[in-house]
Amino acid sequence: MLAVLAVIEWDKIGQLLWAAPLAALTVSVTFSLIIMGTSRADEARRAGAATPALLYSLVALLAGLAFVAVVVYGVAVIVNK
Amino acid sequence: MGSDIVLYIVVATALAFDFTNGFHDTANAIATSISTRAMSPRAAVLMSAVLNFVGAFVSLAVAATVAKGIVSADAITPTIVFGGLIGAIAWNLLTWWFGLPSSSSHALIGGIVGSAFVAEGPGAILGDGILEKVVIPGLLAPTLAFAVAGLSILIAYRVVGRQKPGVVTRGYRLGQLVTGSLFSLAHGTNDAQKTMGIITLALVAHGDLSGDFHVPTWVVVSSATAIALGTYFGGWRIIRTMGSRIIKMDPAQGFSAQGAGAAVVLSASHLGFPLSTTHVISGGIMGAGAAKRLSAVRWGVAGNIVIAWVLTLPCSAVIGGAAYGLSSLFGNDALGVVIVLLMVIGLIAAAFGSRVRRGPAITAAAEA
Repeated sequence: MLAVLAVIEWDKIGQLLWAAPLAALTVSVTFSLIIMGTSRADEARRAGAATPALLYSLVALLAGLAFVAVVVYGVAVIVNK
Repeated sequence: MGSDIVLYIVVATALAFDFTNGFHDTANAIATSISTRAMSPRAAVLMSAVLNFVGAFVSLAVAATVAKGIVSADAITPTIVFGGLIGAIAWNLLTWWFGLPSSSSHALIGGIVGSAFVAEGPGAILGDGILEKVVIPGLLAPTLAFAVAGLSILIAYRVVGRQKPGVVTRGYRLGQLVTGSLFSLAHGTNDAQKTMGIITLALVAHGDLSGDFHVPTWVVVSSATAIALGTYFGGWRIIRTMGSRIIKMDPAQGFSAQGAGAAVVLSASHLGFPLSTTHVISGGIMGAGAAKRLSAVRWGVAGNIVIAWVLTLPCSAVIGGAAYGLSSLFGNDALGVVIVLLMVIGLIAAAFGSRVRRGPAITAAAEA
């Protein structure tokens, strides 16, 4: 039984258990923030509120950059396998 | 002369496996995109086929690891590889027929294990490798994807909860174009290379290549083409199961399942711990549904899928072993391999002929 357990690469599984959720949540949060930011910025612009519109646009922009960075990193992982 | 014929048949069978691998796994990358109407079915399969083709050229690292650590390297012969491929193709076709997503990699491993077992006995099978490459990833992949996709969708709903539904729907549909593309590219880099590895192994065993592992260009091009064609044909039965029979998903759930799935697959790949894309995306879809409401998941369908996963290794092993056993009845020459090949082609033709006589099969047009 112990020999069987020794075969399992526990260190890789351990890393995967935090790295995969972190990557997935980054994808989910950043893309959701893009949607929320653009939607709210649009609403604020229509209401004539320039400052909130600018702030929400900034949120969407930063989230967009973070999302693109995650995607580029994903492609790099695929290419450098 | 006889060994040349066996080699040609192994190469053709490997490309046929690659084709079934493509159409069996099309659903992994695009089922959620089609289900949420992020893409039309034809556009989705075209995009996935192109990216699978491109992905096959990106890296050849995986090609060198096929069957490594699963069966004793000294035991591998072209006839054992042939038996293994028959086992994998048969299981892929059977699960496709019932619309059940299952791992083509595990089917290939199972087929080769069964074939090697019949040829060389239990001593040729490396149990540790099966535990490490099949059992542990098979347990970890769907569980992790289930949890991560569940968490992702809860966060997504929290962030966009008060926005207009139209904006949210359009946004997540757009996001699915990106996550679906990533999935397709990752699939091409992993799965086309299994076939390249198999063909290269057969060429080395036949004496056409030296021992150092170098994949010839014609092998890369033909494997990339076979998986891309298979993807373009689309395994519509499995696409329907994944896209609409496990859960009825909205675009946010589709994005979360796909995004979480891509993150899990690529994180695992980065750590040198490859997981089945089929297991990951299936777990992700179930997680995205269950997080919204447990009863949103059709657990009967999910249960059937899990049963198919459990049966993949033993069933493909039995078929692979039977294919090897039958071909070896006719001696070590090419005759046995030719007879088994003709029998398999006959069985497939009979099954498809019967399906065609019963009316039109499920197609992209029918799904749209």
